[in-house]
Amino acid sequence: MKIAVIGILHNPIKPPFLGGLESFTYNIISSYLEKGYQVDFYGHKESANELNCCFNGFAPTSDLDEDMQYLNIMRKISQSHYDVIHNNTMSPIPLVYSMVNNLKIITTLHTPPYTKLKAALLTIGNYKYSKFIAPSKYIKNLWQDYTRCSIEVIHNGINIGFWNSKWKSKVPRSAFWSGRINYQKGLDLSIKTAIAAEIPLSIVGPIGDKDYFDTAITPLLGGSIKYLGHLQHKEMRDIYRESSVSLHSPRWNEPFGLTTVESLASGTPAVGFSSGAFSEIVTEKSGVVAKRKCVKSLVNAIEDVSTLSPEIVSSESKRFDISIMTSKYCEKMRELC
Amino acid sequence: MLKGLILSSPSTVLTEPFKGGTEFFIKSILQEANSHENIELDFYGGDNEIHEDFSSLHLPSPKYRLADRIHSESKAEKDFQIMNLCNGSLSQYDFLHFNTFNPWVYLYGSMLPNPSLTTLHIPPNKKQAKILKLFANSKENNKFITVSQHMKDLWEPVLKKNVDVILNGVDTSKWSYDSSSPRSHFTWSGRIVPEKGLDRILPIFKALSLELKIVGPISNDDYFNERVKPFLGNHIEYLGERTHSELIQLYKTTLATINPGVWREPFGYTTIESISSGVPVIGSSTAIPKEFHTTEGVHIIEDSVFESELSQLLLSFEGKPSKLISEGAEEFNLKNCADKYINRYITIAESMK
Repeated sequence: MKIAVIGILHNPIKPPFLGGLESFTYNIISSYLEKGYQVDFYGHKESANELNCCFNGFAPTSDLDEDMQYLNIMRKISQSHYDVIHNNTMSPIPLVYSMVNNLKIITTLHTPPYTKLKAALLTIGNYKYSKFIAPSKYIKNLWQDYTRCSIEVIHNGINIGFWNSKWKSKVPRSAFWSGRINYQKGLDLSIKTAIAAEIPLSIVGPIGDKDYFDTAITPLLGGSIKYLGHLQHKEMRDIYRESSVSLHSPRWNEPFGLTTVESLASGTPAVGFSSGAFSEIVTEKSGVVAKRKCVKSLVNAIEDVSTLSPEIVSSESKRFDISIMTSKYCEKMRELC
Repeated sequence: MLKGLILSSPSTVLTEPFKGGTEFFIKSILQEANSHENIELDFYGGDNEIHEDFSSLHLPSPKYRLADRIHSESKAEKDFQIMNLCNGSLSQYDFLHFNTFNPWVYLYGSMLPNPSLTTLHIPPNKKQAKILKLFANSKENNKFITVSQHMKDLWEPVLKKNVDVILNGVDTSKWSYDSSSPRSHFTWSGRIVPEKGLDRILPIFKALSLELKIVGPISNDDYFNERVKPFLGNHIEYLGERTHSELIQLYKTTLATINPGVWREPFGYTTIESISSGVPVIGSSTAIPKEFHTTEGVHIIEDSVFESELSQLLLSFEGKPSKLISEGAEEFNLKNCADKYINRYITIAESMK
């Protein structure tokens, strides 16, 4: 099978990943290649060499610029005769272009509904060569009204073996937070939780919003609250394995939450707000969903996970293994072809 | 029977008073082309009116709310409507005629296989140039027209394609010379924006106590309030927007029309409307396209000395409205313009057969 994978243009797809979407794109391409498929990647030109990016994409300067780049991508794809396109963008162009030119396309809806993509779904109606995948039931339910096609849920996956090999003993009462640092991700709430619970917190991730970091995070750092920078997965794994709990306090509704799965795979239970897809990932065996969306409730939840077994927490993550995700995606592609 | 569609943006309405020259152009071509027995020309834009001689496509409304934190519902609805150009419904058309500045229409239009003709009404800015270049290379049967030689000179290097010139036209029979009324004032007509240069002539008319009537939409409130409004008074009057029939009446009492624009007008309907009415035009060398420089009744003043020369000219202005001027405008008759477009429609549609 010959697959064209289209990625976002705003950031290069390479480790250390700036976010879950970048990580997903890298992992799915790697998995397709491992399965022996022929894959061409269209995205940011500075993406990892092993992805063989075949488009000179760059961070767009405007909406129009972005859509023009995607139009050029679709023209190239149209000339190269792929069996199927895997679309990971938020642009309407790949969908509309595919409909006009009868191309087969699978679109992963990575975010909550966004204006132009909503319009694109309504425009293509029940175009027969299009399939939609959501990474969670939460995202599926948000999008379903906008399309006459069914949306199937395929949870995002990670390499569970990478995260859960070689156990280390957990440091009791130690917390971990990982993700892109901006207001929406709510790191400040996790820090306040750690302070109130009187536990140390290690923080990892790229600074997505410097103003937010300087004004809301920096004043809270110091003592047992440590920012460790933007780390590679291997370094993150060591910290996850040592921590006794991971904190998830987003202000927005996370479409999936790869960091939650990484935590579980490392045997580290997760506590977080009942928003987005968190409660689809975390069970009573692997973490605690805070009863209310407030710091006090998160503090209480930390106490509740202290009895969970790391082995059981880790085994709860197995349904998110990348091999399961890839098999399901391949099945959908075969159905389309 | 050839079936065609004029494509504009979902914001374009064709009811009078027209927002600008492009709206007038579109409506004129629709009316003329639909009077041709072998052409049926529809309109795609934001026009919900039912017209006598052509039909407007119904724009779809989204079933669900599209707005988010960044995009308003009305902007999102327009995006949706433009995307829907690609839903297959335009396959019934033998040709498309693009007439818009909206880049998204060209973005989605580039996916449409129909033979296309585009009239370039304005000079290329950075955004327009980028999207039109992409659009120009999207299909083979894709022709471009400009409304003056100056515009052709600007667009050809951008598109790297041959661009033809078809001068715009007006229905000269409606704008004919009328000698029945006494003439008492000068007229300025157009969109009230800095580049149209209205502020250049106001101190002159005030100093000379000459009567000036100003007509047109206020497209820049700050400019109007700061540079125009202070001069309004005894001799200088702002009449607001006027329909064509009201403008025709106004030209019957006009001594001359002034065009002091500081940008190079792509075409300039005001000039042909004025001379068609037999009314002389005094304009800057920048504002008046070269095609009019030798036309009877058109007085050109070099832009660098416009204000001083205009004062002198007005003091001793001898140009009088006349039938001769009106006859000279025949060259810019709408029928000539429409016939040329109809020939292009036939050529591009037949080239696909």
